[in-house]
Amino acid sequence: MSSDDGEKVYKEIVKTLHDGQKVALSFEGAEVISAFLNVAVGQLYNGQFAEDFISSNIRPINAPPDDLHLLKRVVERAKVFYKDPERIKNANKEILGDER
Amino acid sequence: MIRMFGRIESTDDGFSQLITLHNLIPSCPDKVCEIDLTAVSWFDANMCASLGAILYPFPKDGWKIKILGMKPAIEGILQRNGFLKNFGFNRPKISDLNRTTIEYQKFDRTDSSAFTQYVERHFVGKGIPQMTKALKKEFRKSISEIFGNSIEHSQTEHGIFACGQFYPRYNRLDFSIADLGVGIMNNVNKKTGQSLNATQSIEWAMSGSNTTKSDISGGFGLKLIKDFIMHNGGKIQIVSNNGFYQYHKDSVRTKLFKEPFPGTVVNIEINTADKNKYCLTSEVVDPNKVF
Repeated sequence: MSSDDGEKVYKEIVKTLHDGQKVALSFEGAEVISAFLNVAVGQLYNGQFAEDFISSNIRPINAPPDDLHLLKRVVERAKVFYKDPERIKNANKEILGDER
Repeated sequence: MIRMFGRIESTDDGFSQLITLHNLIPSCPDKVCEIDLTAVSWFDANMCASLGAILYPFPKDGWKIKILGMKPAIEGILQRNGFLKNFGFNRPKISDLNRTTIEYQKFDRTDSSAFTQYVERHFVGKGIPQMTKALKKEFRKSISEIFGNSIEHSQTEHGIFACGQFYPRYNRLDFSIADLGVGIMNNVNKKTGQSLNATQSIEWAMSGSNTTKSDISGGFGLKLIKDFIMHNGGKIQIVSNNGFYQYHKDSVRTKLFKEPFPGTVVNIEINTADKNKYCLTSEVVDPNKVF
Protein backbone atom coordinates (compact mmCIF):
# COMPACT_ATOMS: atom_id res chain seq x y z
CA MET A 1 0.00 0.00 0.00
CA SER A 2 1.37 3.37 -1.05
CA SER A 3 1.46 6.77 0.64
CA ASP A 4 -1.49 7.76 -1.60
CA ASP A 5 -3.48 4.94 -0.07
CA GLY A 6 -2.26 6.22 3.30
CA GLU A 7 -3.74 9.65 2.58
CA LYS A 8 -7.15 8.10 1.85
CA VAL A 9 -7.04 6.09 5.08
CA TYR A 10 -5.85 9.14 7.03
CA LYS A 11 -8.79 11.22 5.77
CA GLU A 12 -11.21 8.43 6.65
CA ILE A 13 -9.77 8.14 10.18
CA VAL A 14 -9.98 11.91 10.73
CA LYS A 15 -13.56 12.02 9.49
CA THR A 16 -14.58 9.10 11.72
CA LEU A 17 -12.96 10.67 14.78
CA HIS A 18 -14.61 14.03 14.08
CA ASP A 19 -17.93 12.20 13.84
CA GLY A 20 -17.32 11.06 17.43
CA GLN A 21 -16.80 7.41 16.52
CA LYS A 22 -14.00 5.03 17.42
CA VAL A 23 -11.71 3.59 14.73
CA ALA A 24 -10.81 -0.08 14.29
CA LEU A 25 -7.85 -0.13 11.94
CA SER A 26 -7.89 -3.51 10.23
CA PHE A 27 -4.67 -4.93 8.80
CA GLU A 28 -6.32 -8.00 7.36
CA GLY A 29 -4.97 -8.82 3.91
CA ALA A 30 -3.00 -5.56 3.80
CA GLU A 31 0.67 -5.33 2.84
CA VAL A 32 1.63 -2.30 4.86
CA ILE A 33 4.88 -0.36 4.61
CA SER A 34 6.15 2.50 6.73
CA ALA A 35 5.51 5.06 3.96
CA PHE A 36 1.84 4.12 4.10
CA LEU A 37 1.63 4.16 7.90
CA ASN A 38 3.52 7.46 8.17
CA VAL A 39 0.79 9.11 6.14
CA ALA A 40 -2.23 7.11 7.35
CA VAL A 41 -1.41 7.16 11.06
CA GLY A 42 1.69 9.28 11.70
CA GLN A 43 -0.04 12.48 10.59
CA LEU A 44 -2.65 12.06 13.34
CA TYR A 45 -0.03 13.35 15.78
CA ASN A 46 0.32 16.71 13.97
CA GLY A 47 -1.52 18.45 16.78
CA GLN A 48 -5.13 18.19 15.72
CA PHE A 49 -5.81 15.41 18.27
CA ALA A 50 -4.36 14.88 21.73
CA GLU A 51 -2.25 11.74 22.17
CA ASP A 52 -4.61 10.45 24.88
CA PHE A 53 -7.57 10.98 22.57
CA ILE A 54 -5.87 8.96 19.80
CA SER A 55 -4.90 6.12 22.13
CA SER A 56 -8.41 5.78 23.50
CA ASN A 57 -10.16 5.99 20.13
CA ILE A 58 -8.09 3.92 17.69
CA ARG A 59 -7.30 0.19 17.86
CA PRO A 60 -5.41 -1.96 15.37
CA ILE A 61 -7.17 -5.24 14.61
CA ASN A 62 -6.01 -8.42 12.83
CA ALA A 63 -2.48 -7.07 12.71
CA PRO A 64 0.32 -9.66 12.40
CA PRO A 65 3.30 -9.19 14.75
CA ASP A 66 5.53 -7.62 12.09
CA ASP A 67 2.90 -5.02 11.22
CA LEU A 68 2.25 -4.23 14.89
CA HIS A 69 5.95 -3.63 15.36
CA LEU A 70 6.06 -1.36 12.35
CA LEU A 71 2.97 0.52 13.51
CA LYS A 72 4.45 1.00 16.97
CA ARG A 73 7.68 2.36 15.47
CA VAL A 74 5.75 4.72 13.17
CA VAL A 75 3.66 6.00 16.09
CA GLU A 76 6.72 6.54 18.30
CA ARG A 77 8.54 8.39 15.51
CA ALA A 78 5.48 10.52 14.73
CA LYS A 79 5.08 11.52 18.39
CA VAL A 80 8.68 12.75 18.46
CA PHE A 81 8.55 14.35 15.01
CA TYR A 82 5.39 16.39 15.50
CA LYS A 83 6.55 17.71 18.88
CA ASP A 84 9.25 19.70 17.03
CA PRO A 85 9.14 19.05 13.29
CA GLU A 86 11.68 21.75 12.44
CA ARG A 87 14.29 20.35 14.81
CA ILE A 88 13.87 16.84 13.31
CA LYS A 89 14.04 18.21 9.75
CA ASN A 90 17.21 20.15 10.57
CA ALA A 91 18.75 17.12 12.26
CA ASN A 92 18.02 15.03 9.17
CA LYS A 93 19.61 17.71 6.97
CA GLU A 94 22.73 17.60 9.11
CA ILE A 95 22.98 13.83 9.05
CA LEU A 96 21.99 13.29 5.43
CA GLY A 97 23.48 16.49 4.01
CA ASP A 98 20.05 17.13 2.52
CA GLU A 99 19.70 20.88 1.83
CA ARG A 100 16.60 20.58 -0.28
CA MET B 1 20.38 -58.84 -2.70
CA ILE B 2 18.05 -57.05 -0.31
CA ARG B 3 14.59 -56.17 -1.57
CA MET B 4 12.69 -53.30 -0.07
CA PHE B 5 8.94 -52.86 -0.41
CA GLY B 6 6.17 -50.28 -0.36
CA ARG B 7 6.56 -46.72 0.78
CA ILE B 8 9.57 -45.55 2.75
CA GLU B 9 8.24 -42.51 4.54
CA SER B 10 9.06 -40.43 7.60
CA THR B 11 7.04 -42.71 9.86
CA ASP B 12 7.81 -45.39 12.42
CA ASP B 13 7.28 -47.93 9.65
CA GLY B 14 9.71 -46.12 7.33
CA PHE B 15 12.41 -46.03 9.99
CA SER B 16 11.69 -49.67 10.83
CA GLN B 17 12.38 -50.60 7.19
CA LEU B 18 15.71 -48.81 7.27
CA ILE B 19 16.67 -50.59 10.52
CA THR B 20 15.86 -53.92 8.87
CA LEU B 21 18.02 -52.97 5.90
CA HIS B 22 20.89 -52.11 8.23
CA ASN B 23 20.64 -55.49 9.93
CA LEU B 24 20.47 -57.43 6.65
CA ILE B 25 23.50 -55.89 4.95
CA PRO B 26 26.12 -57.92 6.88
CA SER B 27 24.46 -61.13 5.71
CA CYS B 28 25.12 -60.34 2.01
CA PRO B 29 27.91 -62.52 0.58
CA ASP B 30 31.35 -61.30 -0.54
CA LYS B 31 30.87 -57.87 0.94
CA VAL B 32 28.62 -56.91 -1.96
CA CYS B 33 25.14 -55.62 -1.19
CA GLU B 34 22.59 -54.81 -3.84
CA ILE B 35 19.57 -52.94 -2.55
CA ASP B 36 16.65 -53.54 -4.85
CA LEU B 37 14.05 -50.79 -4.82
CA THR B 38 11.91 -52.27 -7.65
CA ALA B 39 8.98 -52.74 -5.28
CA VAL B 40 9.38 -49.38 -3.57
CA SER B 41 6.68 -47.00 -4.75
CA TRP B 42 7.75 -43.93 -2.77
CA PHE B 43 10.82 -42.74 -0.91
CA ASP B 44 10.66 -39.61 1.27
CA ALA B 45 13.74 -37.66 0.18
CA ASN B 46 14.56 -36.54 3.73
CA MET B 47 14.94 -40.22 4.68
CA CYS B 48 18.20 -40.05 2.69
CA ALA B 49 19.83 -38.63 5.83
CA SER B 50 19.02 -41.84 7.72
CA LEU B 51 19.76 -44.12 4.76
CA GLY B 52 23.04 -42.31 4.08
CA ALA B 53 24.07 -42.67 7.71
CA ILE B 54 23.23 -46.38 7.73
CA LEU B 55 25.18 -47.11 4.55
CA TYR B 56 28.14 -44.81 5.20
CA PRO B 57 30.43 -47.14 7.23
CA PHE B 58 30.14 -50.15 4.91
CA PRO B 59 32.24 -48.96 1.91
CA LYS B 60 34.93 -47.87 4.37
CA ASP B 61 34.99 -51.46 5.55
CA GLY B 62 35.47 -52.78 2.00
CA TRP B 63 31.81 -53.25 1.09
CA LYS B 64 30.27 -52.48 -2.27
CA ILE B 65 26.78 -51.04 -1.94
CA LYS B 66 24.61 -50.79 -5.03
CA ILE B 67 21.12 -49.36 -5.34
CA LEU B 68 19.02 -50.94 -8.09
CA GLY B 69 15.55 -50.85 -9.61
CA MET B 70 14.52 -47.33 -8.72
CA LYS B 71 11.35 -46.02 -10.32
CA PRO B 72 12.08 -42.89 -12.41
CA ALA B 73 10.33 -40.62 -9.91
CA ILE B 74 12.40 -41.95 -7.01
CA GLU B 75 15.61 -41.84 -9.02
CA GLY B 76 14.83 -38.22 -9.96
CA ILE B 77 14.36 -37.22 -6.33
CA LEU B 78 17.52 -38.97 -5.14
CA GLN B 79 19.52 -37.56 -8.03
CA ARG B 80 18.22 -34.06 -7.48
CA ASN B 81 19.17 -34.01 -3.81
CA GLY B 82 22.65 -35.33 -4.54
CA PHE B 83 22.21 -38.64 -2.71
CA LEU B 84 22.89 -41.01 -5.60
CA LYS B 85 26.27 -39.58 -6.54
CA ASN B 86 27.54 -41.13 -3.29
CA PHE B 87 26.63 -44.57 -4.60
CA GLY B 88 28.29 -44.66 -7.99
CA PHE B 89 25.61 -42.88 -10.01
CA ASN B 90 27.59 -40.57 -12.23
CA ARG B 91 24.69 -38.89 -13.93
CA PRO B 92 24.36 -35.16 -14.44
CA LYS B 93 22.76 -33.37 -11.54
CA ILE B 94 19.12 -32.50 -12.14
CA SER B 95 18.35 -28.85 -11.43
CA ASP B 96 16.06 -28.17 -8.53
CA LEU B 97 13.84 -25.89 -10.58
CA ASN B 98 11.07 -25.69 -8.00
CA ARG B 99 13.52 -25.17 -5.14
CA THR B 100 11.98 -27.96 -3.08
CA THR B 101 15.18 -29.80 -2.24
CA ILE B 102 17.38 -29.54 0.82
CA GLU B 103 20.35 -31.40 -0.56
CA TYR B 104 21.78 -34.52 1.04
CA GLN B 105 25.04 -33.66 2.71
CA LYS B 106 27.46 -35.27 5.11
CA PHE B 107 29.23 -33.01 7.57
CA ASP B 108 32.34 -33.76 9.58
CA ARG B 109 32.53 -33.05 13.29
CA THR B 110 34.30 -29.77 12.64
CA ASP B 111 31.88 -28.54 9.95
CA SER B 112 29.57 -26.53 12.17
CA SER B 113 30.00 -23.31 10.18
CA ALA B 114 29.43 -25.21 6.92
CA PHE B 115 26.24 -26.61 8.45
CA THR B 116 25.10 -23.12 9.47
CA GLN B 117 25.65 -21.92 5.90
CA TYR B 118 23.76 -24.97 4.61
CA VAL B 119 20.79 -24.10 6.84
CA GLU B 120 20.87 -20.45 5.75
CA ARG B 121 21.02 -21.50 2.10
CA HIS B 122 18.21 -24.01 2.26
CA PHE B 123 15.77 -22.68 4.86
CA VAL B 124 14.51 -19.94 2.58
CA GLY B 125 11.05 -20.19 1.05
CA LYS B 126 10.06 -23.86 0.81
CA GLY B 127 6.71 -23.09 2.41
CA ILE B 128 8.04 -22.18 5.85
CA PRO B 129 5.43 -19.95 7.54
CA GLN B 130 6.23 -16.26 7.79
CA MET B 131 8.39 -15.34 10.76
CA THR B 132 9.79 -12.09 12.08
CA LYS B 133 13.47 -11.50 11.37
CA ALA B 134 14.36 -12.22 14.99
CA LEU B 135 12.45 -15.51 15.05
CA LYS B 136 13.88 -16.56 11.69
CA LYS B 137 17.35 -16.02 13.09
CA GLU B 138 16.56 -17.97 16.28
CA PHE B 139 14.89 -20.74 14.31
CA ARG B 140 17.92 -21.25 12.08
CA LYS B 141 20.16 -21.08 15.13
CA SER B 142 18.10 -23.83 16.75
CA ILE B 143 18.51 -26.04 13.69
CA SER B 144 22.26 -25.47 13.91
CA GLU B 145 22.10 -26.32 17.61
CA ILE B 146 20.74 -29.76 16.73
CA PHE B 147 23.90 -30.26 14.71
CA GLY B 148 26.10 -29.12 17.59
CA ASN B 149 24.28 -31.31 20.06
CA SER B 150 24.47 -34.33 17.76
CA ILE B 151 28.22 -33.89 17.50
CA GLU B 152 28.56 -33.45 21.25
CA HIS B 153 26.24 -36.21 22.42
CA SER B 154 26.74 -38.88 19.83
CA GLN B 155 30.53 -39.10 20.13
CA THR B 156 30.41 -40.22 16.52
CA GLU B 157 33.47 -40.27 14.32
CA HIS B 158 31.39 -40.69 11.17
CA GLY B 159 29.98 -37.15 11.03
CA ILE B 160 26.43 -35.93 10.64
CA PHE B 161 24.06 -36.61 7.74
CA ALA B 162 21.39 -34.10 6.72
CA CYS B 163 18.71 -33.98 4.07
CA GLY B 164 15.31 -32.42 3.58
CA GLN B 165 12.47 -31.97 1.17
CA PHE B 166 9.55 -29.62 0.68
CA TYR B 167 6.47 -31.58 -0.42
CA PRO B 168 4.15 -28.85 -1.75
CA ARG B 169 1.46 -31.40 -2.65
CA TYR B 170 1.36 -32.68 0.92
CA ASN B 171 1.90 -29.29 2.57
CA ARG B 172 4.95 -30.35 4.50
CA LEU B 173 8.67 -29.69 4.74
CA ASP B 174 10.72 -32.45 6.33
CA PHE B 175 14.29 -32.06 7.46
CA SER B 176 16.33 -34.87 8.98
CA ILE B 177 19.63 -34.92 10.81
CA ALA B 178 21.16 -38.33 11.50
CA ASP B 179 24.24 -39.56 13.33
CA LEU B 180 25.83 -42.93 14.02
CA GLY B 181 26.56 -42.26 17.66
CA VAL B 182 25.94 -43.91 21.00
CA GLY B 183 22.29 -42.89 21.14
CA ILE B 184 20.24 -40.94 23.64
CA MET B 185 19.54 -43.85 26.00
CA ASN B 186 23.21 -44.37 26.80
CA ASN B 187 23.72 -40.69 27.48
CA VAL B 188 20.67 -40.28 29.69
CA ASN B 189 21.21 -43.44 31.72
CA LYS B 190 24.90 -42.75 32.18
CA LYS B 191 24.29 -39.21 33.36
CA THR B 192 21.26 -39.83 35.55
CA GLY B 193 21.99 -43.31 36.85
CA GLN B 194 18.54 -44.46 35.69
CA SER B 195 17.65 -47.50 33.62
CA LEU B 196 15.26 -45.95 31.14
CA ASN B 197 14.48 -47.71 27.89
CA ALA B 198 15.02 -45.98 24.53
CA THR B 199 11.65 -44.22 24.31
CA GLN B 200 11.67 -43.21 27.99
CA SER B 201 15.12 -41.72 27.47
CA ILE B 202 13.98 -39.66 24.48
CA GLU B 203 10.91 -38.48 26.40
CA TRP B 204 13.12 -37.56 29.34
CA ALA B 205 15.41 -35.52 27.10
CA MET B 206 12.50 -33.91 25.27
CA SER B 207 10.65 -32.82 28.39
CA GLY B 208 12.52 -29.52 28.26
CA SER B 209 13.31 -29.11 31.93
CA ASN B 210 15.56 -32.15 31.95
CA THR B 211 19.15 -31.61 31.08
CA THR B 212 22.44 -33.15 32.01
CA LYS B 213 24.10 -30.05 30.58
CA SER B 214 27.28 -31.63 29.33
CA ASP B 215 25.48 -34.35 27.43
CA ILE B 216 21.82 -33.72 26.81
CA SER B 217 21.71 -29.98 26.91
CA GLY B 218 18.33 -28.31 26.70
CA GLY B 219 16.64 -31.24 24.99
CA PHE B 220 18.73 -31.17 21.78
CA GLY B 221 18.26 -27.43 21.32
CA LEU B 222 14.74 -28.24 20.24
CA LYS B 223 12.83 -26.07 22.68
CA LEU B 224 12.13 -23.21 20.30
CA ILE B 225 11.44 -25.61 17.44
CA LYS B 226 9.10 -27.64 19.64
CA ASP B 227 7.20 -24.48 20.62
CA PHE B 228 6.91 -23.52 16.96
CA ILE B 229 5.86 -27.01 15.88
CA MET B 230 3.18 -27.07 18.59
CA HIS B 231 1.51 -23.99 17.06
CA ASN B 232 2.29 -24.93 13.48
CA GLY B 233 0.80 -28.43 13.60
CA GLY B 234 3.96 -30.07 12.34
CA LYS B 235 5.86 -32.98 13.85
CA ILE B 236 9.11 -33.78 15.58
CA GLN B 237 10.28 -37.36 15.27
CA ILE B 238 13.26 -38.82 17.04
CA VAL B 239 14.66 -42.28 16.47
CA SER B 240 17.45 -43.39 18.75
CA ASN B 241 18.58 -46.87 19.73
CA ASN B 242 15.36 -48.89 19.40
CA GLY B 243 13.09 -45.99 20.34
CA PHE B 244 10.72 -43.99 18.15
CA TYR B 245 9.25 -40.76 19.48
CA GLN B 246 6.80 -38.48 17.72
CA TYR B 247 5.52 -35.12 18.93
CA HIS B 248 2.50 -33.88 17.00
CA LYS B 249 -0.25 -31.46 18.00
CA ASP B 250 0.90 -31.41 21.63
CA SER B 251 0.69 -35.17 22.00
CA VAL B 252 3.43 -37.76 22.06
CA ARG B 253 3.47 -41.20 20.49
CA THR B 254 6.27 -43.65 21.14
CA LYS B 255 7.19 -47.10 19.91
CA LEU B 256 9.94 -49.59 20.61
CA PHE B 257 11.46 -51.25 17.55
CA LYS B 258 12.67 -54.84 17.75
CA GLU B 259 16.13 -53.82 16.58
CA PRO B 260 18.00 -50.57 17.15
CA PHE B 261 18.82 -47.80 14.73
CA PRO B 262 22.62 -47.46 14.74
CA GLY B 263 22.52 -43.89 16.05
CA THR B 264 20.03 -41.06 16.33
CA VAL B 265 17.78 -39.27 13.84
CA VAL B 266 15.93 -36.03 14.46
CA ASN B 267 13.28 -35.27 11.86
CA ILE B 268 11.43 -31.98 11.87
CA GLU B 269 8.27 -31.69 9.85
CA ILE B 270 6.81 -28.25 9.22
CA ASN B 271 3.17 -27.85 8.22
CA THR B 272 3.46 -25.57 5.20
CA ALA B 273 -0.31 -25.08 4.93
CA ASP B 274 -0.02 -22.92 8.05
CA LYS B 275 -0.62 -19.31 7.01
CA ASN B 276 -0.03 -17.80 10.47
CA LYS B 277 2.78 -15.35 11.04
CA TYR B 278 5.10 -16.05 13.93
CA CYS B 279 7.26 -14.00 16.27
CA LEU B 280 9.19 -14.53 19.47
CA THR B 281 7.21 -14.07 22.69
CA SER B 282 9.56 -11.21 23.53
CA GLU B 283 8.47 -9.45 20.35
CA VAL B 284 4.76 -9.52 21.07
CA VAL B 285 3.29 -6.02 20.90
CA ASP B 286 0.09 -5.37 22.81
CA PRO B 287 -2.32 -3.87 20.21
CA ASN B 288 -3.94 -1.89 23.02
CA LYS B 289 -0.68 -0.12 23.72
CA VAL B 290 0.42 0.83 20.23
CA PHE B 291 -1.04 4.35 20.12
